Amino acid sequence: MHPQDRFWRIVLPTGAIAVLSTLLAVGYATEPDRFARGYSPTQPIAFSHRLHAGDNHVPCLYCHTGAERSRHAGVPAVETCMNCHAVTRTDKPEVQRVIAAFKANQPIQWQRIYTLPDHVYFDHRPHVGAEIACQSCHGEVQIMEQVSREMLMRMGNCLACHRDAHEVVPAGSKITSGPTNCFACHR
Amino acid sequence: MKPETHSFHLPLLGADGEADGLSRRRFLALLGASAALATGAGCKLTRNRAAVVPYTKKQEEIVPGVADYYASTFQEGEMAYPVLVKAREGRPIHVEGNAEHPLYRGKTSFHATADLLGLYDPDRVRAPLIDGRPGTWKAAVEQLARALKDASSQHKGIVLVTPAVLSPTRKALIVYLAKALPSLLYVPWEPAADHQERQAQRELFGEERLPQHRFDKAQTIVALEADFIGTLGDTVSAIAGFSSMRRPASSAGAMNRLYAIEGGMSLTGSRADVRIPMRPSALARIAFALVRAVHLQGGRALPEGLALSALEPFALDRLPEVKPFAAEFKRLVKDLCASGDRSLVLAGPAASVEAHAACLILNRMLGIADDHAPSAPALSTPDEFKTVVDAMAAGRFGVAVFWDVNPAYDIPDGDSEGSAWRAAMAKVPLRVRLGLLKDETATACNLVLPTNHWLESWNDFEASGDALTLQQPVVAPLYDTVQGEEVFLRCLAEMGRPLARSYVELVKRRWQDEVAPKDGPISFARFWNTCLHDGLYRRRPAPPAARRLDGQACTRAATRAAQTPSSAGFELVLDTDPRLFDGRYANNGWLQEMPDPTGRASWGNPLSLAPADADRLHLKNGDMVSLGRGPALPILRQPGQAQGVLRMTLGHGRWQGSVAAGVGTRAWAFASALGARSAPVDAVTPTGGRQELSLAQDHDTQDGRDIARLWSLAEYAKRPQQELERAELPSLYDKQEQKGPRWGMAIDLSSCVGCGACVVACQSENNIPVVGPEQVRKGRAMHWMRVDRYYQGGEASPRVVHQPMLCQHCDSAPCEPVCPVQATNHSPDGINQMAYNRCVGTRYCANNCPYKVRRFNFLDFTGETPASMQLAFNPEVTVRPRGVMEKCTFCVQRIRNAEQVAEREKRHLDDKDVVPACASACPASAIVFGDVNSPESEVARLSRHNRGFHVLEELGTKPAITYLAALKNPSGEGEQ
Repeated sequence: MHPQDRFWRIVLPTGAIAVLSTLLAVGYATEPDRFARGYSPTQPIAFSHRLHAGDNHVPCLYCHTGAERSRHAGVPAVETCMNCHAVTRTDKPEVQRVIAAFKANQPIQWQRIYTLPDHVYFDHRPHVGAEIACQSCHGEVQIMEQVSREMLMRMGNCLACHRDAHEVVPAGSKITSGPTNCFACHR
Repeated sequence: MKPETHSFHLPLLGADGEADGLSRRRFLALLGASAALATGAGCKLTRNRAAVVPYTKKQEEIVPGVADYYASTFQEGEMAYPVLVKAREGRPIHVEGNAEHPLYRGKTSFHATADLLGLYDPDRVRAPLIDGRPGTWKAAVEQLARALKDASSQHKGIVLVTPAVLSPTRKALIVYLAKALPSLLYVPWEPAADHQERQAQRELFGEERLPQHRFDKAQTIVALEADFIGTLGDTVSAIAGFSSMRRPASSAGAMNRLYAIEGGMSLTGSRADVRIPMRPSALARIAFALVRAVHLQGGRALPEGLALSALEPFALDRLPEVKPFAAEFKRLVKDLCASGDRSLVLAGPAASVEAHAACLILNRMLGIADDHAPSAPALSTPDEFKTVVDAMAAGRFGVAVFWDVNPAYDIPDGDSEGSAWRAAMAKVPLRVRLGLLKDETATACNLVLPTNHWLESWNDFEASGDALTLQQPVVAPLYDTVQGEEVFLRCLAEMGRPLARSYVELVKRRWQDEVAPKDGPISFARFWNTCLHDGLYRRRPAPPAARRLDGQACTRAATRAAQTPSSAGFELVLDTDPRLFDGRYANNGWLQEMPDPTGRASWGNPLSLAPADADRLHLKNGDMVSLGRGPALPILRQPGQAQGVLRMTLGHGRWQGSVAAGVGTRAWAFASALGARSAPVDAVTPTGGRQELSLAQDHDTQDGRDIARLWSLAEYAKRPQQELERAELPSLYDKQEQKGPRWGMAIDLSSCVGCGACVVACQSENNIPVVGPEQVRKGRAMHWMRVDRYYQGGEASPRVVHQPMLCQHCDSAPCEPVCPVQATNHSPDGINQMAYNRCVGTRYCANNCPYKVRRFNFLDFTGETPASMQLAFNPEVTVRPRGVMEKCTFCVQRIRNAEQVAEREKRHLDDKDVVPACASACPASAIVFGDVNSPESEVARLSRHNRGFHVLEELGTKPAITYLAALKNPSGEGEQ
């Protein structure tokens, strides 16, 4: 076989396939589920946001109190559930599991839905302070039976609003954009 | 219009930051991704499937993501410093000073900050060890209680060795214990205390008091081997007071004057206005000569009982040691006489008892009130301690308890084969060790009882007269440990003499009975909560009775001083280490890696030698020498050191502890006696060996460049006004757009004493890794902040200036345009920002930085951090991986948080709300941070100060950090 034939018929195709499959594999491997929309893990308790936040109009901040005071919105302590469920719907099996967890002082292992990429320090406080609706990032949680991720956790999504915030801030707000410098989020 | 500077960027990038075709970010993503696959790092598909686990019961004070602060107290030797402990989700992550305290006002020892690592030290003993095997507390306490009871009933001695006891409740417990066990011998032992000072006080006054010097009032300070800035006593308030007198409003302003008469170059000596190199053996004569001179020239009366004739041998102009420095001493005497009660004369532990006595006499003659000093905590003298060891060897003790002390390390011949210590320990049937670590003493003990760290403990302290302070646990014990006091309470209960159910109950009971105001308007519960919140209870101390100076004792001291022969050979000075103290912090990586403030050697304690002596012996830095006893050790040429004087620091050369073991040399091995701090050395013999030093700075001078400005007061006055008023240099770069605040810093080199508290605070706040001695030798230390030290003038008597050096956050930063991936650029609030996830590690930025403040993660320095030490990380700061560049961020996490707090409170962000870790830790208040754009801010005022300058201003980098020139106030100048 002519050396050049060998190149065209074996080396090049093999090389191309190798490069292509590397790229695909890398793309697959480095695109972890944190970037994916629609990630909806099963939670240890079948808690329905539709029922609580939607039908019963419980405000988001009733449970996710940290959003105003801390970087993290947080997941409520089991004790917060007991504010109502000490008396309401104690016959439901899911509620009974919450009560059991509270009585046994067993924390509930909720599955995290939103995970930030490394090096990002997202702060809920300024976003809540700017009266941006939680739904702008988290989707229409009040109609979700089981919450799924609605926003791609990518910098482009952050920057879209930080460059032009008019779609998310209430009409007439003085805020038109967010900071776009590195140290606004990375440190 | 787009600024023209964009043409500097990569051609791939269009003017608006978007690329034509393949975007730069996409290209880099693919590039990075291939590399990730090659290393297999991209395959962690499940890493984000984590659980969020909230509390079951809501913790009242804990909001995840918001730090809590608890007031507590940190004890070190004879000092107790009030602190504020920052905790996140229940774990302590940073320690700062407590602003409520009337004396310390928010400042604390950097050892308190660094000892956070002691809490998370993976070497901590995690359960009681009975004869080397893990056991239960019940079994251990039973064994101890039985042994104590048996020894007591058989009239066998029990010895309890503890550090200085500053806690009134602990003292009460020990008193009660001594009542329950009549044969108990209580030995408070601080190997590195200034025993000479105590002895002098005992001789002259018949009692010991803790000196509380008023550095904030003193006009003339004379320090005889007294490193009050680095190591001696209460350094925190000394630095604060001293520095407050180093900031004259103008060149005509008042400034104190420090005379340092010392052998080695201590931190105090490096700050001195007049430094006189002197052998320590001459200090007693010199001090008495000062007594005589102040009497004769200043007309100050000698203390009753001390006749002038007793001082006849000490004529200042006849002492051979004084001759080369006659002019300096003349001015010194003149200054002392003129300042009167606004003077201070101090001696350090390397000075003899007689030198201390002369200083006490001098202070008394000058009218410096020492009567408000609180009485010193009881301590055993080295002789007493030696008697105890001898009694142990004689088999007189049935039980020996070592509580937070490490005598096996302190005793000169140590724990070697056939040493006195080993013989003594062999004769004690039950040897008990209470402490955190399995140290040198613990290895020879049959009961090793792990105690709580101070961040896990309750206590109260009475150190300074102004306030009683409380210590409270910030975290529940991490391991199966109990507090030392609790061990004894359990023993007492076991012996049928219960005192209290828990130690905190005992503390509270005592506070209720003795501290809380009687018939006060508030209940004790409220009183206690308020004190616990503030960390202290202010009270005006009853002034102690005036002390009478014993004239006969003064005469005796003078006679002894006159008889001291002047030595001709080498004299060795053993100083406590500014970082490791007496060795108790030797297992702390932060402190080991912190360079010595004057010698700049980290990880070790080389023997410092005068350059002339080193030249004579043909020795270079790192050459090994032998002193005729003890191990061979490397040397360091120390400019300014007196000829014939050798100096080294204590605290190194431990042989237990995964960090401490094998670093440096045990200085006690060269001591002539237990606790002695100066010793004659017959000869220094080069062994021919070498040991590379881990020097953090390998260039000692500025080579005539204007990096750290050092002026004398007269030079400052002579500078023409137009030179002091700086004009802005022309620049080719565009001005940074500034809306809102522009963060900046001012560092007053005249206030800065170079102690390095900022370095430790920065390390704790910003998750800075410890790299180890080899990496330091390669110049890979990761400190974002360092304190450079430069010598000016000859090697024999250099002037020294210290300069904290950190990222200058230049407006025209040279690092920014050279980054190929724009990982570093400028923020609108004036910070040179660094995005780790963009950094690909080209190191161009570090190469182009004229200040050399960028640090590169050459290795995975943080990946190997033990699990327990990861708890010390600040969750607000990224833990950097291998291959990225990092540097000072102006504590951007604190800025961002302050912004959010201000916004939530619906108020304007005041620049005083943001205090970076270094500024907060600086005991000299030399670092001021704030908004340069706000005209009335302190930092803006200082940026316009006529001592202000920018380092390497001529490069046009426009740094955000303004330094204020260091000032020296040498006598003589301008007086003629």
